[in-house]
Amino acid sequence: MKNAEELRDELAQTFAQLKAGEIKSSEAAELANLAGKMIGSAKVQVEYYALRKEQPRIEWLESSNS
Amino acid sequence: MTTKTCTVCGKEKPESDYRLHSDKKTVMRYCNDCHLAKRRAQHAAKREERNAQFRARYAANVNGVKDKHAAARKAKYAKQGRAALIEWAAANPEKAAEAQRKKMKRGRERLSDYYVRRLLCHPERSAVKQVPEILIECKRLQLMIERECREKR
Ligand SMILES: [Zn+2]
Repeated sequence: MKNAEELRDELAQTFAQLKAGEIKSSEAAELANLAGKMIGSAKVQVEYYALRKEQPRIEWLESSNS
Repeated sequence: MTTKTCTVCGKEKPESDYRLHSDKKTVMRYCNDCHLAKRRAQHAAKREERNAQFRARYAANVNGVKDKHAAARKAKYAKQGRAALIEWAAANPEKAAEAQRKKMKRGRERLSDYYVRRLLCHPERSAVKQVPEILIECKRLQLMIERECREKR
């Protein structure tokens, strides 16, 4: 997953599949866990720049089609 | 003066302390005080049932009362603005804490933007003023999956 948009789409799809019973909850939990880590590291960057009062682009959070 | 003994409290009281039956002639067997006490007890017993009915009607937005209240709150907020609300919260810390608790409870149930944003970057613990929208969306989906997994287990 090269950016947050891809992660969001992956999460949305996984949630739908989990609801429909197409995948096991252990698989879904694994992705949720990974997502938590990715979100966490993005958050660290956002916090870091906010503290330094800088507003650089964080590539992972940028939209891919803009 | 004719007196009469109440069958409930057993006190002897003048007939003027008793109510008349609906025929307006015969006097009741229990005194007015006891009669009122009985009425009050009946009223209290029905109270919870009545309140539940009212709550259900409100929740179902019968006659649009709920919408009216929501519109009134919105209009009030628009008129007073955020500054007045902050001032109110400072003057009413207990009410404000209760309102905040309710807001968080609602947010937790619905995974509202407000709730997820606060989870990510709590205003008191974070320097971030604007949490990127996409991060909120991802976090919400992550929480939704985790909840679903927990329910399925
Ligand atoms: Zn009596």
